[in-house]
Amino acid sequence: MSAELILEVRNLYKHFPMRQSLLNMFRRRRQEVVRAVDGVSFEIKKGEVLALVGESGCGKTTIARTLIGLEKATGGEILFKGQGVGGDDDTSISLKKLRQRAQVVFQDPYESLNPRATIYDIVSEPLVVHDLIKDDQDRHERVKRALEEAGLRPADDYLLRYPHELSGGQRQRVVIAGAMVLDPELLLADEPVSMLDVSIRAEILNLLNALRRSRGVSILFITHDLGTVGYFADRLAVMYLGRIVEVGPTAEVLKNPQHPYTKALLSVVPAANPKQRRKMVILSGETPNPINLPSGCRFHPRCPVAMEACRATDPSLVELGKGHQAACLLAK
Amino acid sequence: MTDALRPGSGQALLSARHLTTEFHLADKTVARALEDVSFDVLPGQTVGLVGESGCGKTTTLMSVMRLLPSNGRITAGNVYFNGNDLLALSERDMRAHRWKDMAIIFQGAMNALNPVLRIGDQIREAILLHDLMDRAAADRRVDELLELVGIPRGRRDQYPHQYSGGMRQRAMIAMALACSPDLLFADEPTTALDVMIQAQVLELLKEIQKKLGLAIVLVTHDLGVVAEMCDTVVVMYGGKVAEYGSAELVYNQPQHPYTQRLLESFPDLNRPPDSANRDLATIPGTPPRLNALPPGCRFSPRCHMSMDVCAQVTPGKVNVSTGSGVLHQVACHLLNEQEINK
Repeated sequence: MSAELILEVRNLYKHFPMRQSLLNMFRRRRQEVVRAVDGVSFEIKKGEVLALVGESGCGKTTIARTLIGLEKATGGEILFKGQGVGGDDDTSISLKKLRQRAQVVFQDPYESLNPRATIYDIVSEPLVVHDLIKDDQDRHERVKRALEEAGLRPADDYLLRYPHELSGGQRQRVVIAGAMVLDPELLLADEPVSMLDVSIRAEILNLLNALRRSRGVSILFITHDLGTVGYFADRLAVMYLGRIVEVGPTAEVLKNPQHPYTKALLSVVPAANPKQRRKMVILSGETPNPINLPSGCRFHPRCPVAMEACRATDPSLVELGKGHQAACLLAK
Repeated sequence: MTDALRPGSGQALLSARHLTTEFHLADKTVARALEDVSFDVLPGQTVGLVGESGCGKTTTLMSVMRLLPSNGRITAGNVYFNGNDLLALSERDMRAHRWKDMAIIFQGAMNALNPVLRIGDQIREAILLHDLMDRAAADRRVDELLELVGIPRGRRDQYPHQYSGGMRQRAMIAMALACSPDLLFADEPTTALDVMIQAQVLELLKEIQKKLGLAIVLVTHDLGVVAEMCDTVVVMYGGKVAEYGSAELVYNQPQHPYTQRLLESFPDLNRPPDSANRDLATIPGTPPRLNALPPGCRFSPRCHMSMDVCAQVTPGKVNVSTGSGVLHQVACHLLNEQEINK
């Protein structure tokens, strides 16, 4: 199945310069940079869900922000349906057009809604901004449809309410309604369920799944929790320190993980049954800061199976079949 | 349905019996946050309190520690610690129990460290406040504690902002252990942490438990964490205990429809979905408001197995007979029916 590509990311870099002291400027020290995203490539097909998994600080949110034009890429290119993102030339898609067709759902539904706006205003605002409504009735109907599609039924009960009157799960539904009201082709969901209770988490995941089926929307699902992606994503990309270290069809990666980092991440997901307690591979310490990267493979200082060669060689992704790739010298 | 939860419950370190707690709300209504909550914590054991937000998990901890806010009152029940009724103690005597016998890691406490005090000094403060130790001894105790929780000595004089989330949670654990308690309450200790850091913190709790013989009561909404850590599980719903028993039994033979649905709604990597229908089970509706509780079983409006009797009569606790005598209690009419039909 060679479905249409919605998003192509080629060799994306995003470096944030550190603030430099005056003294170091005089000394002509090289300015330090945080290499938040350091050479990342992936693509998303129409109707596909790609999960981007990694710990805090691995660069997954920076990728989302760069994709939507909130950050300017340091290098590489982003193509949205073949059109460049973030460029200044005529062939690039304008930011406004991009943000109509790609929408973001953020983590915290308590902070991403304007507390002084009614649900009606919140959900209809994107329509006004993009000048997509004919008249008030059109506006009303589209808001209602978006709310009902997001599971807030009957929509009339919610239109004039304020965010503080809603529960966390309902708020996240409002956020999703506000994103879907524009009928986007791509949804960037940044930890959309990690703030929510278990049963509500399941509801929101089911909702996103339903939207994918009914509207054919592609989803980039950003999370630190491998547990949820098994249910949800078609493909899975594991990130470590600004790079994708393993990517492939979800079932394949979960069944046969090749990168030691993926294996460790998988082993620490608690199983929902005391009988299935696993031997955990607990990596000591935390993701190092992306300013002074280790030599060779950037995972080798924490890697339980690191060899001498790992200090020197920075492995690139190797194809292992069926689109499963891993960046490890031991992968085969 | 006897008062003793199981034979020999006299050995329990902590026993809550029929604990009922009410809050007087600003709108003059009374919210019954806990009703008839009973459970035991044995020495060295880990007990998990699970349920959705607002089911009374944190209120249970606060009631046991007698740290309820001023509008909250325990209206019935007892809490025994080593056989002493804590609710009968004066505030002054109670204070002697807190921290020395039982300590608590509050929810989100790692973000409540004093930003202008060094970590080591904050831990020392906790020691000096409770113990009759001199400063030098307290300093040595801080070093011991930091080593116990795996914080390098060189970081003792750093400030909270120099610590990562996982390190701050370690510091909180060190502070809770300052006076060598027998029982540690941990309220959502890993909720804001990444999976790898969560695993580190859970591993640390297990190690400390083994080393010190500590009993732990873990409050969480994460069923995976409970499965990983706990010997015994208390599933709470709407301020009541829905199911209570050994973790093995509750996870593998859940009897209460709420427990069943909760487990099904948890995405589990070991139980991959069939690719055709990837939907998770959900529980329709929302938990009841505690000042407007439904009559009868509190879960009945959301229950897929609900019968006529459920909306009228509050189900009592039933021992699930397993033959082995392993603890497993359920408050559901379905089981009463079965018992009667037998």
